[in-house]
Amino acid sequence: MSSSEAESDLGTPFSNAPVDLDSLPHYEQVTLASVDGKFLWSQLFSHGMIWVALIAAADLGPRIFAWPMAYLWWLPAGLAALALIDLLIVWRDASARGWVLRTHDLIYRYGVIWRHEVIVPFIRIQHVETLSGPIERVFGLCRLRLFTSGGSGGDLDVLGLTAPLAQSVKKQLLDQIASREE
Amino acid sequence: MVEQPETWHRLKWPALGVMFVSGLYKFVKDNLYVVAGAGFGVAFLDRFSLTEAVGLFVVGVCLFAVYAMARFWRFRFSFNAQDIRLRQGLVHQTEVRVAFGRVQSVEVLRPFYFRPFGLVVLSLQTPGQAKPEIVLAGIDKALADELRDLMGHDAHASDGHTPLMTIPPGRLFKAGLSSQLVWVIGGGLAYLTSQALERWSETIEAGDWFNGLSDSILASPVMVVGVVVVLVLLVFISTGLYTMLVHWGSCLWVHPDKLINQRGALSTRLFELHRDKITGLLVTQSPLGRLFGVWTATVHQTSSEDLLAEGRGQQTFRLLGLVRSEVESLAQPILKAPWPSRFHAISPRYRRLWRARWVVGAIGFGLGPWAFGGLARPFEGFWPIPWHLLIAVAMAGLWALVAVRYRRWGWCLEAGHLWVRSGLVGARVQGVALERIQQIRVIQSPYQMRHGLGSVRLVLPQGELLLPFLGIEQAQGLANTVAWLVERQGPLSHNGRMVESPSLRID
Repeated sequence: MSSSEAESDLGTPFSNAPVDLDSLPHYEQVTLASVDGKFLWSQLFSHGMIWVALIAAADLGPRIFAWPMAYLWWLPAGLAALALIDLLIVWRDASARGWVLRTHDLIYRYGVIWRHEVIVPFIRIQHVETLSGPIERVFGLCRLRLFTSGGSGGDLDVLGLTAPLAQSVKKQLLDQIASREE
Repeated sequence: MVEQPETWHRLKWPALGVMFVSGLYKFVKDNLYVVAGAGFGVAFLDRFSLTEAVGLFVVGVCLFAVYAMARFWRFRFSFNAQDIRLRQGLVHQTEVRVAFGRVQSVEVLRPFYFRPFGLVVLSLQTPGQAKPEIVLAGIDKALADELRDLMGHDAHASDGHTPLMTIPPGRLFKAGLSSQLVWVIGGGLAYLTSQALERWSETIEAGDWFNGLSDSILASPVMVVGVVVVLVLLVFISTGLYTMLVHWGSCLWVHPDKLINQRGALSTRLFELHRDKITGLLVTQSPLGRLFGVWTATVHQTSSEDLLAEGRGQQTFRLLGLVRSEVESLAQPILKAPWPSRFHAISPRYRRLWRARWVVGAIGFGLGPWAFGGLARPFEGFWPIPWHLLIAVAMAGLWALVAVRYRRWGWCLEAGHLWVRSGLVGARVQGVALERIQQIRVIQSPYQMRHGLGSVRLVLPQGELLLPFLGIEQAQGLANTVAWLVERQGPLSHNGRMVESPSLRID
């Protein structure tokens, strides 16, 4: 018996041949598709609305309600500066996101400061769903949520897909799950 | 004999008592702050006389008794050769059906109060659930054995077989001393004691005696130290004894298709796991466990909650009081893989980054008050040691801790299994079969991107596993390897175990 073969405790043949890592498919060499261009606008719109509301409250609140505090000019100005930084991050975030479907898995990349690259093998997906909020619907976007085992960490949201594309990916993934269970 | 699905069984009548106690326990647990906190005294004891309070208590007990009887009456189950069904609920009736093929673990508990009646508690757990889906608290042992036989868990599988290991009571006692239960019991006892002493010292006759006693103790530092030592020893000894009783005679049997663990003095607990449904092995050693040389092994299966973050004590397959050689010998029967031959270090940048953070933090903490002279300098006035000396000592300590923490991190990829070692004063080694991994995440912080590093976060069926500060090529290579191993299993063998386990080395 060679050193790389032995009988396991159950008597089944056990082989332990080394594998050439260079022969494996390299996920990092795959070119990812960018998310839809409307995703940037939807994010700018939703973040912008929140910032506009905050800046307006900071600027108009003391004037309208005659609050007994002095008008703090730096409060709306500071909020405007923060809004600018946030919108810049939103812009970078939209351009950093990317995804691709391979034969056996889905790769999704996101994150501006901390970059995340996630590989989800189809064989591990238990359930798929699409969901969209009101702003996403206005822009014709949809989120794809993938569920695998592993508690709350087992969920992955793929953002920035158009609704028809999300439905088509969902159908493909569900077909994969169905064929696996047959 | 196989029962027809139409035959509905009920629990035996002693189960009524269990339902009563469990209902009461759930109420107390859900309203712990009201019951144990000051609110109880204000709301009840201070407003009502003792008679009224006792009357309220009796009414409450009667209400619980009625509730338990109703639950008992509505609780029914039936089974056939393929599955088991359970119906329960008062207002909302629920029915659960579990196919025997989906059961990943079986637990048979024989509490001391059920022994005279020959009853047991049978719990069945399936993948994806945080708690057992079926709990039959109060059925005949013969019926439980029949159900286990139907599930393929031969009820007499361990009869006459020599266990792989038996943990002696002395080591269980040491495991109790080193477990986190010490702090739980210590905290609970401290709270109860302080509450009782406070109430008692409020009475006039007890007050003088209590004040005299406390004055005489506080007058002598030796007495104070002595009392503290005695109390700490009492807590430790009671924790050790409790653990010894709960895990008394803990044995592990390894069969071709399952693992069996039996333990307990007053209440006997028997755990059975399907070996094919095991997803990982976690071996831990607390700081005190290191002193006593004892380890704890936890066998993981698929769960809907993060077992690695939560830890579920009694509800997981745990072996306490193991020695190093036993821990290493567990890898083969549990994961079907050898214990790692050596661990690879992570990048030394981990150590450098953390030290830089501590230095920046210490400089900020130390120089901040100095720069703003108007602010109070920490420790000045009430601490005899100069504050900058304290910061220097703390810095040196943290510097050393970072070095220890860095040295503890290690990983090994062998025979299709990934092993990750971590810890600080204690130790934690986790082994997982790569084929069980659900998602692979490669994460890079700005610092890691600058230095060509990356962390790998693996989503497992029982939680998440982090392997920080690898070279980015190593991290990507690990991700590619895991993806390849998972995906090559193909649609037809997705839930079968891998026969070929390649040895991969990425260094």
